[in-house]
Amino acid sequence: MDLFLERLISGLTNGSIYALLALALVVVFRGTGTLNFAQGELALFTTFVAWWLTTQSLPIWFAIAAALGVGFIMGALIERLLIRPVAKRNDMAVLIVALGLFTGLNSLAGLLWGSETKIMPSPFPNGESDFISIGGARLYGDALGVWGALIGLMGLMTLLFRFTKVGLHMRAVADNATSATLAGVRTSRILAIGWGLSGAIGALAGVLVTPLAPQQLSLTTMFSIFIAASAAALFGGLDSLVGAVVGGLVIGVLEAMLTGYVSVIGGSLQQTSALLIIVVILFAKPTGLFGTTKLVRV
Amino acid sequence: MSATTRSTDPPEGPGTTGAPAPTRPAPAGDRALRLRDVTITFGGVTALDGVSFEVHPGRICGLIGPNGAGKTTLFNCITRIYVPSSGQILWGDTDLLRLRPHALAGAGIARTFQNLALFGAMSVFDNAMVGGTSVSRVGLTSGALGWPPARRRQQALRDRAWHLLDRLDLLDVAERPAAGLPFGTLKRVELARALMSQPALLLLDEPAGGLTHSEVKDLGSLITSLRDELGFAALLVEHHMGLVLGISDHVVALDFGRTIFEGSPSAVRDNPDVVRAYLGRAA
Repeated sequence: MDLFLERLISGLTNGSIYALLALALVVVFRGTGTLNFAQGELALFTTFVAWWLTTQSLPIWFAIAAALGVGFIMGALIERLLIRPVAKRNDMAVLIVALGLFTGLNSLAGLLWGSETKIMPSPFPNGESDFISIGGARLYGDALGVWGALIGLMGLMTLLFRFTKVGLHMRAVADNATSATLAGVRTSRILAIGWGLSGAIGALAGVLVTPLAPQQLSLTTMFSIFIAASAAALFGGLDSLVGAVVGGLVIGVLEAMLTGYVSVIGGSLQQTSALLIIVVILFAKPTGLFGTTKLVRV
Repeated sequence: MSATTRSTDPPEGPGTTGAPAPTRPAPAGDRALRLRDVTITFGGVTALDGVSFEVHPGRICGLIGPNGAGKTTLFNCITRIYVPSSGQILWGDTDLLRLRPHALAGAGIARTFQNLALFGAMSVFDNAMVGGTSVSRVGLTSGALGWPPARRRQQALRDRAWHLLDRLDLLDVAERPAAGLPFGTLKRVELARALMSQPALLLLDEPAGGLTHSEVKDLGSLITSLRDELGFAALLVEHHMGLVLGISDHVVALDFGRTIFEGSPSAVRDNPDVVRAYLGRAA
C-alpha cells in the first residue's frame, strides 16, 4: 500500500510538471494553432539562466523570478521576430521554425554553459528528512511545492482568462482571430503576450523539475518531459487548459504505475509508454478528450 | 424562412416613407464616410469600378444590388480586409486605407458579418465585452488588479454590456456560450458586440439574411430605434428590399461593380436601371 502511495505521489508530481509544460503548449496552440516544438528547449534555456544566477550567489527565488521574466521576453520575441513573419505563409513553416529553435536553443545552452550535468538547487525543502508521512508513504517538500505551483498557476490563469481584458482578448483571438481584429482587438500584440506567457510557464516547469529529474540539469533533461507534456496536451485536445492539466496528471500517474507494476516496461520503456498513450488517444478520439471539434464549411 | 432572404416584396415595416425620424438626437459623430472612385480588381475581374458615395453622420445608407454586384467586396474594402487598387476611402479627415484593421474600432467604426463571426466558445456577455474592451482605455490586466480608476472603467463597460443585452433582448442567454444559439439570436449578439464600441458608423452586412419574416420586421424597428437613441450612421448591405427601403435615408445601388443609382428610397423602385439590374434586360 505504501509503495502504491509513493508511486501515486511520484506520478502526480511528474504529472504536475507535464501539466505545466502542457499548459504552455496549449496557450500557444490556442493563439497560433501550432504545436511549439521548441517549448521544452525554451524551458531548458531559461532553467540554465536560473541555474547560472544561483551560481552567482543570488537567492534561488530571485533566480526563478528572473527565469520567468526571461522566459516571457524570449517567448514574446520569438513570436514577434521568427514566428509572425512565417505564419503568414503557412502552418508548416511555423513548425519548421519551431524545430529549428528546438535544436538551436539546445545548442546555445550547450555553447554558453557546457554540456556537463549541473545541480540545480530546489526552492523547496528537499533534504532526506523533509517529508511528511502519509499511510507509510513519504511526501517530500519539493513534491508538495510542485503541486502547489500547479494549483497556484491554475488559479492565476483562471483569474487572467476570466477577469482581465488580456484574458478576454486571448480567448477571442483563440476563437476567431479575424473577427477579433475587426472587433478592435490588437491580435498581434495578444499573440506575442500568449507566447510570452507560455515561455514563462515553461520556465516555471523547468526550474521546478530539474531538482527532481534523474538527469538533473543537462542538455537532455527537458526532452522526455516535452514528449510527456505533448501527450498531455493532446490528451486534453490541445486547446483545453483543463484538459492539459488532467492530461498531465493522468499521464504522470499512468507512467508511474506502468513502470512500477509492469516489469517489462521498467525504467527503459518509460518514454515509450507516454508515446503509446498518445497513439491510443488519437485512435480513440482524434480531437482529444476535452478538445473542440472544428467544423469547416466546404 | 429562406424565402424571405431574397424577397423583393414591397417595402413594409416601420419608417416606410423613408422620412427621417422627427425626434432624432445629435449624431454620435460629425464625420462622414466618403468613398471616392474606389476600384478593385482580382486578376482580370474588376469587382468595383470607380464607386463613389457618402454616408452622412447619423443617417442610414442602404447598399443594394444583385448577387455579385460588389456589395460585400466594398464592405471588405472599408474594413481593410481587401486593399482597393485605386481610389480613396475617407472617414472624416482620416484616410481609412492608412489605418490598421484593429484600429477601425477605435476610430468609431464597427461591423457585423453576413455569416456571423462570433466567438463560439465564449458566453454572449463575453462576446459583447470584447467589442467594448478593445476600444476602452482599460489596461490589459486591470480587471484583476484593483487600481480604482481602471476598475471603474471596467465596471462602466460591464454596465453598458448589460444595458445593451437588455435592450437587444439577450439577457436570458447572456451566460450561455454563443455556439448553439439560434441564428436570429446570434445576429443580435453581433449587433451588441458592434455597439459596445460606441461606433459613429455601423456597417451591417446582410443583417436580415437567414431571418424569418417577423424577425426581419423586428430587426428594422430595432435598427432605427437604436439609431435614434445612439445617433450612429449605418451602411446597410441587404438583399431584403423591404428592410432596405423601409429604414434607409439614402440608397445606393451597385451592379457589376458600378454605381447605377443613388438617391432616396422612394425613387429607387421606379428607377429603370435598378429594375433592369434586378429583373434582367427584357424588363
